[in-house]
Amino acid sequence: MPGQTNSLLNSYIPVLCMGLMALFLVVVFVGLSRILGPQRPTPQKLAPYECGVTPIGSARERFPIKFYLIAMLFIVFDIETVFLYPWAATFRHSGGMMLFNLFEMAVFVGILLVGYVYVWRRGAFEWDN
Amino acid sequence: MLFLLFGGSALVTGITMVLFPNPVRSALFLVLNLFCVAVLYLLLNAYFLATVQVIVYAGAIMVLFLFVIMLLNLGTPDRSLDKLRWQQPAAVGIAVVLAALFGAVIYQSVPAGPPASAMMVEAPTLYAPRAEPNPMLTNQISDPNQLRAITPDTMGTVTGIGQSLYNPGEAWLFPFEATSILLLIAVIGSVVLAKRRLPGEDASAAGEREGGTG
Amino acid sequence: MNQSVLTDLQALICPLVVIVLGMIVLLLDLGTGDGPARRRLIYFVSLGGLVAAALLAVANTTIPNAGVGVTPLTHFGGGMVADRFGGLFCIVLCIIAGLAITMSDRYLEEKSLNSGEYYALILFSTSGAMLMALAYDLVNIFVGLEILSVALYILSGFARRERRSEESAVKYFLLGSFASGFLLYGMALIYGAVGIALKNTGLLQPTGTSFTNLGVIARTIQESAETGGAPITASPLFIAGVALLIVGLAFKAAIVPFHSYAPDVYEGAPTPVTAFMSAAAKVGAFAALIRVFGILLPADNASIAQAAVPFHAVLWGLAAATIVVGNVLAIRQTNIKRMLAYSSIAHAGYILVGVLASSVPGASQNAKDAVIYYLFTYTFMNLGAFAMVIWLGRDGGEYTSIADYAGLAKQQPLAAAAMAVFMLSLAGIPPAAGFLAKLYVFTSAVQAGLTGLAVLALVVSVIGVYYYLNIIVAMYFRDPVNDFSSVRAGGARAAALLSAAATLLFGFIPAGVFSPTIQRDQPTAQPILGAAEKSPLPPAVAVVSPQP
Repeated sequence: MPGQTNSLLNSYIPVLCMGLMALFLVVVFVGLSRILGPQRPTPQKLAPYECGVTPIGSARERFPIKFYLIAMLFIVFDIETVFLYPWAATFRHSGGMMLFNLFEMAVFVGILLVGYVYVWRRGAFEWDN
Repeated sequence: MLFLLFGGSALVTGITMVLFPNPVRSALFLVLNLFCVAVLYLLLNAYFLATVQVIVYAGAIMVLFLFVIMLLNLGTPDRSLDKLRWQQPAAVGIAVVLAALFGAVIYQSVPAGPPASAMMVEAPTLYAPRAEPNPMLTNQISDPNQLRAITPDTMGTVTGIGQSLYNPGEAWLFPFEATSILLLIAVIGSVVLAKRRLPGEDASAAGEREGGTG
Repeated sequence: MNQSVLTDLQALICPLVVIVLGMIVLLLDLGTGDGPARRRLIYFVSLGGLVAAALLAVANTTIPNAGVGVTPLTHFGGGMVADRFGGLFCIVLCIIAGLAITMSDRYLEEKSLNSGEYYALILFSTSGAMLMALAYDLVNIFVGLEILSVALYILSGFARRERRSEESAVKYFLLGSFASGFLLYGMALIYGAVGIALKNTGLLQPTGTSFTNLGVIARTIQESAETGGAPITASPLFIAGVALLIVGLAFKAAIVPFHSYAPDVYEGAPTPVTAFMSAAAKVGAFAALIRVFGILLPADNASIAQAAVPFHAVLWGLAAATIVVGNVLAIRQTNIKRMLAYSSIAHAGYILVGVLASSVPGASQNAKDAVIYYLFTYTFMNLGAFAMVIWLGRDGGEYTSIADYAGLAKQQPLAAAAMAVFMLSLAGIPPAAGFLAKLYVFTSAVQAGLTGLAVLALVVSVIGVYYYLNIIVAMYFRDPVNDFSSVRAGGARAAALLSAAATLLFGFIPAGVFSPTIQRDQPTAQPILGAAEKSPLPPAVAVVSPQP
């Protein structure tokens, strides 16, 4: 197959190499310390590290719903940037359509700006409410 | 070979994700699965899609998944609560039948000639540039310069996507703009459903809500 | 800015106005000022905007229809189409949104729900259904469907302090997103089938050709049949795609066996939202069903029609099952919202009979007229019935049990009369419009050779009369159990009375008025049309009558 793949796919080979190296390093570091390090577990050592304070209760506490709201808003505006990216990449080469392309994106961003104003005025960015 | 490796691992991680009773572990397997699928997209020349898959799905959406799991404080579910015991085997059986059916359908329909690897290189030529406007779309824009052809080099890349997405002569500009409405609705929805206290609601009502659902 | 984009925007003016209106309403609610005045402002701005949108849609109803053999006037790269068919659906949707907003005012106040988001979501949802009706590309149908449904998921959980509303939202969302998945997978399979067929037949593969474009699909079907090989409609990929498409759209229209969410969701959602979704989701889904199946399963070519036969059998079965299940289960209901939910399932079945008939060449025209007429009357009688529930509620609650309405006629004769009109119309008893609607659909079914189905529907709808009359009997012949002296009334009363008037008046308007194609050789429709315009109709109905 290597002969058939085109040049663009080949440009991802460094990414693959980096992934493999990261995997390699993780395996080596964790593996070496497992093999070489002395292991004498005591109950105190196995307890979760909480700056020396004795842990109380489970670490699995309920998250406040605020986090969910922030994450949800993040995703929405994240997707907006996903659309911005190919637009930005083609904008310079759009020639006579440049003004129109600007208008297209202005409509898209404008509609989401309404959402932004809404979120802002409703106070969803305020942590304490 | 790459396809077999990543397709196989996508399958394995997908199955482990479903089978693990602990939701956090399932979510982590889902991350792996999404990565494998991203590589499959790469192999299909969908470079931009692969990147977006990693950034949006494996990044942002998985964070949201983990938040929700922690929000609900899900542990390992209690199997004894399942009232409809026959439901699970029945669902598995029907799923297998359906999968076999779709497998047969797709196997029959894919042209027998070229193998998958050859199709991959051949696919871009489907989009060979053309000079004259498309007769199928009668009120196509008349200026042929506006048809910026997608060449095999750019298909699936960021530029290729941009060229077809933002070209008013193609069909994708409208769904793109309509997507912004969808995102706006998502913004409103997340505020309406997840905000603790909205202006206009009295404090007692909000307290009741916190008590009721928390 | 080039000229073609302006004409594109002009063609889609109705949904665009509704979308902009939604954003305006959303932003208005953020402004400062006291609550009640702002509520009133938003209320009237949304209603006024909808009337404007409906009037603009009337302009589109003069554009001839798209269909097989007719080159449609498409917009936005072929993805959207503005024709009379779509224009009529836009008008129905404007009426639905208008009635739903009209009946919501006091309800929202009593429950202290924010009105800005609520009206904005209703408007966005409406625009989604409009996009479905105007879409000429499967991708646009999907985006429209998602706009429609995501807004509905949120709306059904809008009364967020109530557990039932939350439950309703979660159920609707889970099942609805699953159905959307089916729909999208079906579209992907059709995309693949069309792409393979285009490649095999050696047709051009220009840039900008969308394999999901309905025009491209229609051409591919034709050419693949003409080149001698097996038509694309016989390819397993295509068949699987169409099957999944049916699942996705049938879910939205609440057709048996994809109906099971409907009663729970309708019961739990806020009542005006129930009213809205019982009509808007169905109208959007049926618009897409008619448009898509007219093209995917054309019956005018013998070799292609052969491949469509199994799908006609499937739709036959779905229609029969929907009518029977909807009517039979409605009999046992004691909650009026659940009863209306099952009743709306049964009505989806009747409409499906018309959709099925519309795919038979000889009867296609009459069947489409009948379906659009049915959707208009269904809108008025169904939203009217839900408006009654809101009208008679108070203090943030409603009387949801059918027994609660006993003796209503003695305390609120006007309300009882309006309710009786809706029930008679839903049951299909003359002179209410529901009778004519059923008559048209069943006649077109007989014309299409679906006599068996028509007879079944007729027999079962007679069974259905029982549960509608049950309410009338309770209202007029039982002793009162509740005190209806102080009721909510407000906008819900206006909506209910308007709908009742429309339901009665529609009994005198023939189906030809709503014909989705322009028939120049039928002058008979003209005088009646003129009479309809001169008669003192309430505003919502005046909007309905298309320009001559």
